[in-house]
Amino acid sequence: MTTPYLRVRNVTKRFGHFTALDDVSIDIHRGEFVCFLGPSGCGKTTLLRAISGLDIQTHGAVEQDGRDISALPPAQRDFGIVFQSYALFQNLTVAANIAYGLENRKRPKAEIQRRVTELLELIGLPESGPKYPGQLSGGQQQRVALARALAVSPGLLLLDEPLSALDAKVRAHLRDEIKILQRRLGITTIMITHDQEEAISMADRIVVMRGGRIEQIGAPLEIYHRPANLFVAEFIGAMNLLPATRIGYGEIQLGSARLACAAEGYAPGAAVRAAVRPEDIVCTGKTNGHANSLRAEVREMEFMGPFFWLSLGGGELGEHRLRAQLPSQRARDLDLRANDATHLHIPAERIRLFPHGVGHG
Amino acid sequence: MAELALAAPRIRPRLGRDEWLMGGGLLVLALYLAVTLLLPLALMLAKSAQDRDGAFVGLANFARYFGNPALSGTVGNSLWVSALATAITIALAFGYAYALNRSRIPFKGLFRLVAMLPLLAPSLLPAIALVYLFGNQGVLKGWLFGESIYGPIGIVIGSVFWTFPHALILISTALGTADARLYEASESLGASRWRTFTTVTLSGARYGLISALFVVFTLIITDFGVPKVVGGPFNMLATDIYKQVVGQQNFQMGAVVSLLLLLPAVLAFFVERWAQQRQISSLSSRAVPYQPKPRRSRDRLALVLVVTVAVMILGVFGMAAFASLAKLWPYDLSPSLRHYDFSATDGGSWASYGNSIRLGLYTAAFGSLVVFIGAYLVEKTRVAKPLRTATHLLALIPMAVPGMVLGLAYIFFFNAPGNPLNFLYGTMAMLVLATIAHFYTVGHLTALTALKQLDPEFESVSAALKAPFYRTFWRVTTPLCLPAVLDIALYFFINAMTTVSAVVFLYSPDTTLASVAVLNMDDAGDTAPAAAMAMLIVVTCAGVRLLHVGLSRELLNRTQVWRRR
Amino acid sequence: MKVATVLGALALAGVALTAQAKTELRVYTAVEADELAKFKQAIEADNPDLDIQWVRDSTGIITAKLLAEKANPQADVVWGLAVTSLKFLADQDYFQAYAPKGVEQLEPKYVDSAKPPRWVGQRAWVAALCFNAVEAEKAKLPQPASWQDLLKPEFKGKVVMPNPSSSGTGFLDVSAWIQMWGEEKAWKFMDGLHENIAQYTHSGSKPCKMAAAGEAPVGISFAYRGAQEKSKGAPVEVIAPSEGVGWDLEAFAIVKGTQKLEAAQQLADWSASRKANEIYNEGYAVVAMPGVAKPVPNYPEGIAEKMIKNDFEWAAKNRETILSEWTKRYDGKSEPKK
Repeated sequence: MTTPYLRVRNVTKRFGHFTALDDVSIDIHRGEFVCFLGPSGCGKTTLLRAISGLDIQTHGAVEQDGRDISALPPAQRDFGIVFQSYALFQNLTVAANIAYGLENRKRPKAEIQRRVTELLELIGLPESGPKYPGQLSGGQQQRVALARALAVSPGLLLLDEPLSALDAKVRAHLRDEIKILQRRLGITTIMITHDQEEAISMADRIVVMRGGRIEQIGAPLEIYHRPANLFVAEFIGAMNLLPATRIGYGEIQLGSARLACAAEGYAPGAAVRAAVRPEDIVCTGKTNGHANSLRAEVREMEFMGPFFWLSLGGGELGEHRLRAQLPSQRARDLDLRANDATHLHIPAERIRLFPHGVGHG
Repeated sequence: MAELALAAPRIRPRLGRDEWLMGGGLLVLALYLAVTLLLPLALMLAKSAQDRDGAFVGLANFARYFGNPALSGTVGNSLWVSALATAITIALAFGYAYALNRSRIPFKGLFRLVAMLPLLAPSLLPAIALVYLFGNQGVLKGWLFGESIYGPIGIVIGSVFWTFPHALILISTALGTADARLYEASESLGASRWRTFTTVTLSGARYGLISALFVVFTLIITDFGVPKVVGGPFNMLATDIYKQVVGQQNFQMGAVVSLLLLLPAVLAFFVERWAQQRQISSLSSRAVPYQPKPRRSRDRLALVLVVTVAVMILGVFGMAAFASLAKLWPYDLSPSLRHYDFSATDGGSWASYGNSIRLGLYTAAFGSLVVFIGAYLVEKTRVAKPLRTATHLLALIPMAVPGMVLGLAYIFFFNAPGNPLNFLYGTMAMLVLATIAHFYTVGHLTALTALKQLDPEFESVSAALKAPFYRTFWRVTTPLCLPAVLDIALYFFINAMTTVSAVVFLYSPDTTLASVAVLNMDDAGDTAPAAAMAMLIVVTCAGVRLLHVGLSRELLNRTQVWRRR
Repeated sequence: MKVATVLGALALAGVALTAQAKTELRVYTAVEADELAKFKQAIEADNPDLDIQWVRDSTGIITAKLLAEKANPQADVVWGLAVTSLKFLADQDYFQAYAPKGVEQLEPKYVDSAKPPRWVGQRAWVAALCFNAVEAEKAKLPQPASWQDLLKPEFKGKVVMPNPSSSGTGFLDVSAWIQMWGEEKAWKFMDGLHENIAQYTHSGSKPCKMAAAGEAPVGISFAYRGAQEKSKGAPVEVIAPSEGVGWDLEAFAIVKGTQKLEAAQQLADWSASRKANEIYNEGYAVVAMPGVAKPVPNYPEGIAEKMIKNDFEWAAKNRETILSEWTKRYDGKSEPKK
């Protein structure tokens, strides 16, 4: 086990009586891409600003590469940063923006020139050096901001919602580019986002935060499939949450149906919440080919292109509502329409249980 | 867990070079403002409770002031005259602003320009012009039906003239930000025009109106130029200070009157701040700009009003210009430049004009530098939060301090025996300090607004790139804010040229000023040369304004290529 | 040896420089602004090593300023200030007694009786009425010949007078009325006059300038100003009222404790000279040196004979009392007068 590159130890930040960060600890390894994910006000930005030294925490320690940087001003730390707003110097050319940190280090002119050219190519804007930021599109500007941050080869790259100001297409494109770039340079990276899709597709590990605390740390798959609590379950991806009752070992009662459930814990008779992802529900139409099934009626069908959103109720579900994703091709095969009755198969290992009555976020 | 976090030692952020420099800069600025503003004012407060020999007498001076009916009567005078003039100014400015923003009259740009002209003149100019227009030999004397211009009538008209653009700017801003959707809603609900006017127009502009009301009232009650020239035997608080201090060298009594003058100004300050905040928060980013539709009756009425006001403004300037060029008013009106030879009059002749230009340039250069760097430090310093707040509050004080009060406070402070800054007394440097302090707030707020429009993360980025803050300040922040800096410089210059109130107590034989010369010449009965000097100031300010337009354009062309798309 | 030579040369250069450098004298004065340039030129022509820096204001203001600065005087010389003010200051030990060269040739009643004198008179300035004939004709106003004429109802709102607390001219009028008529009658006269006054002005010149410009038909001012306005072409008559006219003496004094005593004495010597008196005479009919004065153009005839017997001692002693009484009665009128 190598020692972590960045260690955040019991970091707390208070603004007067308000606690923005409450005893937060994380280890981040060299070369890792970590996303801080959470709704606004969850403390992810506060944590990033504590790590960068822009707003130093009230208590707790931050170590980078074995050095205690807890109390250092930003200028004495080693990081590059990119903001949602790009924060490009509008009155300087793209090249001058990228060279800004290099010039400060008194590097020879030719070397700066070379490095700028290299970075312009890296971000795929080799011709844009003499242009002004205002002449570039949002996505291009954000790439310039990235190049400016990378120019001085920082040990840590901080991305503060870098994609939020861009429109969907550009965002998806830039998402991949950043990821590729990060892999290639092997730079330890922390990105803040409130967009779970972004976090899942980019991060090696995700830190889900709420109310100044960490709810779960884990790889995207782990977070997605094994959410540690109700909040994470609901916040990441779509999730059906239905009240159910534990009825003996390995079974629950959902509506009037009995379903096998691989999740452990909870004594028989305990009220629980059963969590099922919409894409884990298999719609088998009129035939009932699986053991773990229940009957329901299709209340609404919403065509989304590759799949339909199904809204299900009635039958064994009774008053409960369930949302399921049905691949378009399968809908065609089953010739399913609104108000049709259908069998639903829910694999036992796809049902997770959470305590009932825990409010969510 | 929570206990553990509490038990852990609190992190004491270490300060880097940037933090030390910026914090230090902030401290220097706070000290600067304390010395040029707070200490003088504090000393003045103390003086109001002392007798001529400096012994503490408590409220005896106040008792004496109010015990003398002749003196305390001026409180009433000041209040009602200021209230009346404010009401007229606001009504006219509202009408004018309404016409400019809510009607379809032609030549809006020209009318706006004309309305701004009074800003280029000292308040003495309209008063002098009034003497020529409505005085005993006035060309329009008959319009007053035998009433004398010397007194409340003259003060009211003169005050309305010079405060008009101030009111117009505030009200126009409030009217200019109307949301068309409200008008559509009101119309679709079948509301009458009058009802739409009262519920949408007036209510939308109410904070602007309140703001203007208090600003104008303060301007008038603290102005001393107009009542000095056309007040005749009618005393106002501001002229009382002048009489006590300059006429009788009774500084303590001057301090007493100053404090009285400070009251409405401070009140106005708070109301204005309150209204400003409301105005901003009532603005929705989704508002749709209102486009007035042509309506003949309204447009015709608007045009009549606007033309009338514009003609009056131009008339006042025209009268002053004419009087300054007439050989011997009213008996020989042949053109002559003899009144522009100031050598035989009080006020320090052409040297005063030179001094005023110097004061204007120094104030513009040094003032915009201090104000801009100061606003930058207040806005961008990461450390020393309490110091930032305190400095910002200090920077807001001048708005609530009438010029005469500041001038008097400067006498007390800089002329105090034992003050190491005593060597500044009577110098150009002190005039520059006083003028900067007097007009600090508007410059500070302008700079803050400009700085807030920049990306707030420039400093974070620059720290991450290990660039010292001053490099980013010089290479990025300043160029981006250059238009605002030029505006601040122009504001300082024009005010330094036209102000009388603070500097009238502070000039020395070597630093006589043009605006004060206007006052002194008028005092000595040399009204025509006074008009000539006032016109000289107007022409200079107009010239500098034009220069500013040209310079801004040139600078924008040269340094702001990035603005072009 | 070499060093000594250089030092010597430097010392010599230093001496040369000081010899060339002018001594700047800060001179407080109430002399009219349009005469100051002339005086500065004449003084500096005869005394090339002097540099006169005038600080000019109305009599009342210069007096108040001197009083306010008593602890730390800023002036080197007070020059051309009303003797009533100078006496008052002299009694507070403000001045350095000095007998200028040739002071014995001046009319003794115009020089301080102390030996050496604390102040020395220069010339007298005399009250007069400025009367705008053109405006008077329009308003059918008779030309006033006496002070009492000004009380006539037709002069209501037509008379302008300087405020005695700021203007020396205003004070000499009030002082003269009291000296001529006694307290009771004089105040009664002023009460009546107050009814006819349109405005009290800050300066003594302004009433005459207002009369010259037709702003007010009658201005209570002084003869020099009237003569000047008339010479400039204004339609004013300069009148010396029949009862007698007040006057005051312009005089100079050296401020005690000045760093530039020698230069100040040089100025004092010049100011008592014949040449100075000749220049005084250019605008003023009565000067301190007997036999110098020639008639001044546009002065009212026989004005010298109408000058009252003026008791400076009394005027200086009672100045503050008179002014505070006047202020109480007439200043700060809350209503404008028509």
